[in-house]
Amino acid sequence: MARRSKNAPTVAVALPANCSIHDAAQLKAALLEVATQPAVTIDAGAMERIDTSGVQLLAAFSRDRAAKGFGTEWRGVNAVLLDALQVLGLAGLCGLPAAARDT
Amino acid sequence: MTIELSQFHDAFFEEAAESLDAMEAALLQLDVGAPDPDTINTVFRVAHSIKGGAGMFGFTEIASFTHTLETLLDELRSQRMQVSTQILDLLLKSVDVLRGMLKAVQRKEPIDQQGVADLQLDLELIVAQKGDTPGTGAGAAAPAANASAPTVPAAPARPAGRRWHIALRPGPGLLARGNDPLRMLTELADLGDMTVATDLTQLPPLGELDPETCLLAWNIELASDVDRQVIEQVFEWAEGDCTLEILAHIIREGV
Repeated sequence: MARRSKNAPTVAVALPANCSIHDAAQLKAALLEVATQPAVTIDAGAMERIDTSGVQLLAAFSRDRAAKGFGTEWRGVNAVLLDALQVLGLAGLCGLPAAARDT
Repeated sequence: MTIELSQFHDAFFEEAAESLDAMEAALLQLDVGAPDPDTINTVFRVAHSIKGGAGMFGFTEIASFTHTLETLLDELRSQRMQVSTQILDLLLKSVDVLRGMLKAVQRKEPIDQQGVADLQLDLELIVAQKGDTPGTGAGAAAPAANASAPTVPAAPARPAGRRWHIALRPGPGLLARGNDPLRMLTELADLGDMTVATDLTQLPPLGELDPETCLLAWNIELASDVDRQVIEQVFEWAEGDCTLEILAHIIREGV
């Protein structure tokens, strides 16, 4: 799932369409694969569904990297992902806008 | 610390946590109009007991806070002050603050000094004024005790209504049984104005994380006029798979 761009030091990891508990082990493995890279971009462009299990993995990933001083960039963030992170109070930790969800 | 003393500490923390649960249960049963003296005595004894244990083990912040709390409870016990909704709200807040202090001391983490000091000031103010604050009579609901600001002086106007405090701590089987906190919190957000504080203290590093176990917990503030039953329904399928606390604060109009 991870790939290194030829011209850039940033490693990209693409979130699968389904980031729910049923596929959580694969998502965890993909995130672990890049966890020690100093610069990572998470591409959420293909993500369609996420639950607390998926959000929790992203939170642990982001927190662990922040503790090491590593940067994490986002690409293709959609409303499903942003809403899930905001509702669970984890958007700010993941480096995304933590603004309250519109109700 | 010797092993023996550490064991005594553990026993104190365990007993204090149970006592606080009992105190909270008693407070939730307290009738503002006609408080049961036995219930007030129960609450007083819990505060007194925690103060004694904290003093013995040198947990000075906890001893100091419970001393202030005990002073208010003594006023209530002797009926020099009456139980108002504002006082009840302060007492429930005190339970929350004490839980936080005990947890912090047990984990050797810093105490929320500002939050403790603010609430302690609120408790001292209400005793100093003998509960004689505007709008605390029967039927006039108290403002939620705000740990960051004393509640006694006049505050900017805001609409009347309820504010719910909901603490959700998932158990190990919650996710595996198809109960998703994201769905629950999304439903809550649809009920009113919600703010969420996420507790990551139990979340291990990614490499050690079991993705099928929810190790996050949430403290939720929900401004909404819905009944408790509506909130409970959000979590009804998760019963037995999580620890849930639902506390109501009533916001008085113009306070």
